[in-house]
Amino acid sequence: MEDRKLTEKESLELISQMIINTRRRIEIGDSNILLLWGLSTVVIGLAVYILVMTTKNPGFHGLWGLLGLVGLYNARIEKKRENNGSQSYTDRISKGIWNVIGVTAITSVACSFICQVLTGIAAVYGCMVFFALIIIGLGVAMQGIVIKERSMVIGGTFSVCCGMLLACLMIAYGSLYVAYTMPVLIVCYIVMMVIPGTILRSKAKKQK
Amino acid sequence: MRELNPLLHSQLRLAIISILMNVEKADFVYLREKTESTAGNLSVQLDKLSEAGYINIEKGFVGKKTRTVCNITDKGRAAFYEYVDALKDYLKL
Repeated sequence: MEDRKLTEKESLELISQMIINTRRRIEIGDSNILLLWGLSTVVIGLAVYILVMTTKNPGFHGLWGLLGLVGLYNARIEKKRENNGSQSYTDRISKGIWNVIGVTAITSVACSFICQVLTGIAAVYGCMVFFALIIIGLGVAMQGIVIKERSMVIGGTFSVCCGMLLACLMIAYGSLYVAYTMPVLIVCYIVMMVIPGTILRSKAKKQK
Repeated sequence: MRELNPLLHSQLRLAIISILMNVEKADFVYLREKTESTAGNLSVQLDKLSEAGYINIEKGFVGKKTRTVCNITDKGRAAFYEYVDALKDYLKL
């Protein structure tokens, strides 16, 4: 392109063309992040479930700490994407949503830790299951609204509902067994992250 | 009929403003790719738009590489809307 004068019609066509060219497209990277978190949580959840149920040793819940490594890797990917040329309004809103969700998630871990230290009751970590479902579920649902992806809205909402149900049951019964909570967690993460991530990935491939 | 803004009534500058209306921020490389212009020409036009107050230019670094990021200002946005309205008058849309 050059610094040349256009006719009025050419001006309108140029504006339309630039808007079409720069419209945010679904990228494989979007789906990869969902799949990364979804599959990591499912795999760790399965491992924790099998190990705790077979050995009766609750110490294996410590494996959830591996999600911190996933978080660090994710942060690296996001840093690279930030320098990727452009940032749309959608990108900014998505970033804002996940910043809030991230802070809330870290706060929930901190709260559980403080409560456990103050009360000496390790079972307080059981709250993490419904925190994970409600907080992350909300994030996924909101992200789905922003990028207009119905599977994420449905999956996220499903997860929030399951989280609220588990919270009510925990209050009613005092504690919940891993035998019940872990399968619910695994199913929710498949529904809200793995399935939508797979759908987004196939949509991104079709767009190419 | 309203006069078309001469600053926007130019192929490359109009393309730049149209892109920045659609994305919140874009860097120099992205703008060059989308407008298919030369680096020198793009740089000159960006400076003109910046002097008019239509865009902000931020120069920074990513590692050791320089990175120039642009975004449209409220003045630029208003100028773009006015330009499109004027175009509609000309084309009687």
